[in-house]
Amino acid sequence: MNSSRSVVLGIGGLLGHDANAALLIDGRLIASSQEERHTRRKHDGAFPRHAIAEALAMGGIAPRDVTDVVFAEKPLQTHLFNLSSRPSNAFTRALGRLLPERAAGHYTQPARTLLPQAKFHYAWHHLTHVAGGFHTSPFERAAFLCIDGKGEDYSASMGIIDGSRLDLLAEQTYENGLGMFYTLVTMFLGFHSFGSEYKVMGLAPYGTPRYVNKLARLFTTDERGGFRLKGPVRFQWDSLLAALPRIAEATGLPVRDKKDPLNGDYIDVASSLQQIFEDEVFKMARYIRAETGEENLVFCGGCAQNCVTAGKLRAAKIFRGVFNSPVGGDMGSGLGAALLLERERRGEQFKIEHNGFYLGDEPGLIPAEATPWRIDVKGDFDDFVASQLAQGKIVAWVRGRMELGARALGARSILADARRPGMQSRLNLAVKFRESFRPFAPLVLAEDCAHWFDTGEPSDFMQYTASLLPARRAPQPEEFASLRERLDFPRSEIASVVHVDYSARIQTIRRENHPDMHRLLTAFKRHTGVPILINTSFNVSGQPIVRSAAEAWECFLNTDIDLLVLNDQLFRNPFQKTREEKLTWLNQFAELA
Amino acid sequence: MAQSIRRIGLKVLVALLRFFTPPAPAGWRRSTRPTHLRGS
Repeated sequence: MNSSRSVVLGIGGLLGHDANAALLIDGRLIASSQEERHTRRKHDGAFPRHAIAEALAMGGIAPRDVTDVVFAEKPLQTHLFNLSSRPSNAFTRALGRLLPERAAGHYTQPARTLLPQAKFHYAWHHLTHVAGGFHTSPFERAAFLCIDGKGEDYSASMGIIDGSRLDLLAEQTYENGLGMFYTLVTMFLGFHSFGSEYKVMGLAPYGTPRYVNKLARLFTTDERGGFRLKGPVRFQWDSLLAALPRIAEATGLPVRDKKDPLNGDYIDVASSLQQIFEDEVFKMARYIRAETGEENLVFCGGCAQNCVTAGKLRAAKIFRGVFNSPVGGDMGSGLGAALLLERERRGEQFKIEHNGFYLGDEPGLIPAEATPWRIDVKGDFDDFVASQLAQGKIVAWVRGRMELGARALGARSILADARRPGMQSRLNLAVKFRESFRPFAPLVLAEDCAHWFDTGEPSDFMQYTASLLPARRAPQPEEFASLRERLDFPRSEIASVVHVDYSARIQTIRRENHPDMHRLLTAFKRHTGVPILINTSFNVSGQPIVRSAAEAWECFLNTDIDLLVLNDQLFRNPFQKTREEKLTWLNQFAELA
Repeated sequence: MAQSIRRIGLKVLVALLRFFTPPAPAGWRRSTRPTHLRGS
């Protein structure tokens, strides 16, 4: 291989979860994936050797060809903060120059063994989110707001970025910030598995925010969103658990066990938490707008995955444009780290060609055991699948390269007709095996989006929520007897994808971004008059999204999905597994979750 | 022996860090982090 080439490998996950890797060759994005998709352990934080191997294979290069490795964290700074409870400063950074960062990194030894020729770099964690967000955004320059649970020693940062300039203007130090608060209350509500915050976001619209004042006893804040929890809490399991009684005391409710019924009080706590979160983010956004004078905002970090807040922030027009990157969180931190080095190498404006974030591998060989169940489709393939969907069939859709990020963007998805009464419950209980209150997201033809929702702006990667147009809403009663009754109420023609507050987490499908899905949706519209389908990730509760054709087939056999599209072939479900066999298969993921 | 010295050195380092660095107040504060990757 030509030795003058730049081969940059970004590695994320040193903070212990969502390990991932991304490969750039001469500034071209070749591949990126998360380790969990390979090891089948959700949020896997182990050294991402499988994700690295896949990226190198897709780039057609050997480990010795990698010229630079960029880690998405500074482990020595994290270590010093954890030991001293003092944020990074000139002294710790001087130590960072004297001591090698690798002294504190459990990832670095396997990386050095695997990639002996490479030069190693360590990036501030938040800056990897900023770079990942900015270089995939449509902006030439922008302010940024990064909020997450914990970078090395800080939880929020803001500044300005353009092609050659990256100014980190201000930060909120310590980990007990807004992100940790969301995690703590999520745990208080009985959702203990890592990354469950989105469940609380989904629960919030069912309640009223009557616990805001009580929860406010737990933190201090100011008019700029300078947020901090009262009392020290660390991002460690025992420290988080020890803090839960404080929430119980503030709310007057016991800490909920996940087996306890989710009654109205807890739902109102979820609603209050989301309200506080939105208020704080809006305060931060107004402060940043005034401080920087910038017209556009890149909203990034793990907390930016709260698409309800992102959608409201975009609609509020505090900034002319808001971009919430699908890789602005930890799953894209390796890509962000690689982009940081690339921007320094180029020193000028550039945008990365991200291929719609379909950056993983193809599904590979179809298992031989699937052959007897193949359906011989006569005529137009997409039209046939669309007709099956219109008849109420649930279809798993596995085509092309796998998505990067937490959401299925139509390459490893389960699709269904959003008009079918009871489809949300059917999918939740018989296919996904998960809590029934969580809404599904709609795929919608971009050109028809404004006829259904109150936005004409794109949401190509499911980053934003929008509201169903009033003319398409069915009025709801003031009171419901139960959560189930409220969930099942037909509040619109497409009730399965519209939340109780008429919001929907939309993914707009454009022909140029996703021609396959555009053809399918167009055919579905021809059959039904509705340019919308349910899209949910192809997995079951506790399981990472399927990656390969073999995993897709196995998941298909163990769920009540009717049809499976594997690249250009269609299969029907043999429905041979007993309920007990399915539950046994399912439980392995529950144990890993 | 080398490990003990390293452990004691780390404790001294942390004590110095705590002594010379006051806890940071809540709210936004000006960032002094260098943003360039090289030299990290």
